[in-house]
Amino acid sequence: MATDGAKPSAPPPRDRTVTASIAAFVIGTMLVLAAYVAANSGSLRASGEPKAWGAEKLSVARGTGRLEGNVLVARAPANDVLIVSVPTDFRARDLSAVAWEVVDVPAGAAVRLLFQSDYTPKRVHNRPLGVEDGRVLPASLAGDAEWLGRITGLAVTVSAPGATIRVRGVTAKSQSAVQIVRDRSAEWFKFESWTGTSINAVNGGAAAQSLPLPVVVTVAALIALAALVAIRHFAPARFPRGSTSIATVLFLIAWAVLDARWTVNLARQLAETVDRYGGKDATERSRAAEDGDLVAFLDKAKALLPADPQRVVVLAQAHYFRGRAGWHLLPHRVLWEPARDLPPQAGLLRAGDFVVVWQRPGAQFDLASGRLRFENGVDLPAKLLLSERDAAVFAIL
Amino acid sequence: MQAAGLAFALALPILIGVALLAACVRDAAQARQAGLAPWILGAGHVVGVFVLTLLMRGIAVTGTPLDLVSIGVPGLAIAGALSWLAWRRSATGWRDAMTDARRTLIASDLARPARIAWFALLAWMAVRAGMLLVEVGTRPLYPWDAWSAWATKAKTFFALGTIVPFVDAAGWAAASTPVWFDAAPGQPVTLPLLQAWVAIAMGAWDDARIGLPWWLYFVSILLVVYGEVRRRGYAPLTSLAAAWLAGSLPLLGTQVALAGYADLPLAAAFTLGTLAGIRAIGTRAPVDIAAAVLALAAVALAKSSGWMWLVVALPGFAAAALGPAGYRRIALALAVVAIGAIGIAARFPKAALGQVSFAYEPIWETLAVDSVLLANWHLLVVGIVGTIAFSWRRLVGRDVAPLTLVVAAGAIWVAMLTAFPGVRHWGADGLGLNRAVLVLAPLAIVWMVVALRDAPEPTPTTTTVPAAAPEAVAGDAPSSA
Repeated sequence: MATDGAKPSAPPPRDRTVTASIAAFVIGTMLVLAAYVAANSGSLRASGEPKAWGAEKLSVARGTGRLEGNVLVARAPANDVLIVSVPTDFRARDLSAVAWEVVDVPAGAAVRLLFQSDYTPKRVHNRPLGVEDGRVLPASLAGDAEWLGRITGLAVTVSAPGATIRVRGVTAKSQSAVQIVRDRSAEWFKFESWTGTSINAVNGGAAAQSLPLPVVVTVAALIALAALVAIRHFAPARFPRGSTSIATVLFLIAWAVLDARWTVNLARQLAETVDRYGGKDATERSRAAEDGDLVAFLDKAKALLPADPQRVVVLAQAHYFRGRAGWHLLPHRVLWEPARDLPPQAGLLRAGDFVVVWQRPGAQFDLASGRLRFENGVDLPAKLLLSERDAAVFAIL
Repeated sequence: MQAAGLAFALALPILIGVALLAACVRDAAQARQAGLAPWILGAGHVVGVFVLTLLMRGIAVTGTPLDLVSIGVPGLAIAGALSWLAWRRSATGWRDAMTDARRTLIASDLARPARIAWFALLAWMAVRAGMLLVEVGTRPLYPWDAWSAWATKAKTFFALGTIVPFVDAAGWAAASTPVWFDAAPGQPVTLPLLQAWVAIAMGAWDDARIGLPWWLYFVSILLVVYGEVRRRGYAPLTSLAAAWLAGSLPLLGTQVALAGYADLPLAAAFTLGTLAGIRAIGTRAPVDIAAAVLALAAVALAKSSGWMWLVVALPGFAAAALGPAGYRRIALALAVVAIGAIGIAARFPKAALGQVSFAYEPIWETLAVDSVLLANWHLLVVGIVGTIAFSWRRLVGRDVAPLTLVVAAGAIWVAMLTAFPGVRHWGADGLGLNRAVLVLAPLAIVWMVVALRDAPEPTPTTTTVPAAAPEAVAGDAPSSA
């Protein structure tokens, strides 16, 4: 309240730190994306719809391949390059980005894109393709002098003799600004479900990304900070808390954006988990897990073993199954080889021990003589307790 | 019945830990200290788990079977006795603290914008915690080491009702008495005992439910971070923002959802032990001393590489003990250690101790990609760089310097693991560079927030509004919880 005779002082200007930071961050993000589109020769005009060819449309011109579901598993020749190709028909200027969905490319392998057009029908052009984390990266051919006319065929070559790669297909897309931004956001928001490596690293969407989201929000926040610090120089009363507070607010906004993406991914993962395991008891959950077949077999095996903990040796080709069998057989005294698939050494097994074999060639049981033999020559008297397809339980006598 | 057992299993360690720490609070005045109540609640789980597993070890040593009665009765007795002691010492203080906590929770003192921010952050954290709770309680044990190196022991202890020896493959083959094998027989049994306790209280082994204590470690980290920042004088909203930053780290959330590794409990214990230890050196308060001693013991006994994190915390404790006069010497010692490591590596490129190689084969690119480009830590690295840029003078201030030195020592340790990947077979487990960062990350968040407080800011000469203290950001007013 103003005192007598004193002029009422004007209220202090409203603190704009938060609202201005939000606005500046949005503008900064748009600038970053605009710069990215410009750097990738993106155009503002609308272009053609993307065209995609799945694995079933692909053929292996050099090497061998087989279709597993919607994936082409291709193997390179021992002394030549692998070539996977597909006939196409689209206008080059409409769709100037090509994305091969190829994974499991060995480190150091050279990967190239081949294309043929009706403009130069007798020539096959080739361009190098980037590889990151075993995945082939998309290529932009906008401005390429030979990306002309109608594209009549696409192919990918992999120089990795004897290697096996997996190909899901190929997509040709436009290089419009909208398409570029849509592709990047599809990478950011690609569902990343739990895998064996999730405990060590979170990708943040697709495994291979051309423009990771943390880079976008960091650069956007820096642009916004620079702009607001400059504005504050001219209107300090609007930002009474200073540049540290502006930086802090921008940092929190950028963090919140990243965390919103992570929350969306977690929600999708949660839906998948609940769909698979929700409402089930412990036993049903074990059966619903990735190794449900193994659990079912080991339940039968455990019923045949004495109740007291017994010495059990687990053999399986895949170390995942060796470890999992060891886990499910507890509290029996289970031995399994964590790193390598090895037959039991001479002297390891003794009378009274049990052997569980799961999906492992190399162990042979002669029913007539009652002998269990391994590829390293170990030969023991044994009794077959349980046998199913690719799995058996033996008691060593 | 199983649900009741589960609830008891999860509650007992918290009851023991909270009662123990509350009993160490000297009087009602200390109980009223802003932030202490949530800090004790968070610390209680970490401390209580450690005490409970010590109790289980003791029971096993006497030959008594591990069961609901043999563990539950003494556990409840300890919690009851300590609760009585705590209440007798400072009943009015705890009543006041709870009243203040309620008032803080409903943000009755805050201005409207700050209130909106307060409830938005609370809702955000509640959603995250809820999602993680459902995920961890529904999905059977998933990550590799969880079922090949950690819960193996728990499942066996539960089934046999006692602690039995785990050995490597050679020991298994040669043993004349019953021994068990898993992928990491040398790891401490603290966490397996916790998992075994959950199964014992439930009366059944459940692959999913045994992971629920990991969710409580997550909540512990949130509460300890909130309570610590609050105890250092920050306003509730700023403290909540710090907890939100810590709780939203994606790899931390992943370690909750995919429970079973020791890194999250280690991170919780390291964060608590370091913060409490630094404070205890200054205050000599029994509550801080007890929390520090037990949490640091838990660090050493959570995982075989845990002791290395005690070494990382030492510079911070030394700085807290020696004061500003010692900062330069400690920083110099840290630099000597780092340079010495580089020198030794350069002079003896093939040096090795058993499996542990000291060969210089840096994977800086992996560290950079993991820290900056991937989603593991959101913008933690940017925050650390920004903190140094905006608050470099504050970093050597008396209240921040110990934390600065711990963060620096932790960064050197992570850098060594990156430069000499072979060391990870000894100091940390095989692949997990990010898992080493996880241990340091919650503490780094606290350091960032504390260091940014009172950051030097040239006051514009033309402004008529005085620069507000950071704790008054968005108009929130301090209260005590």
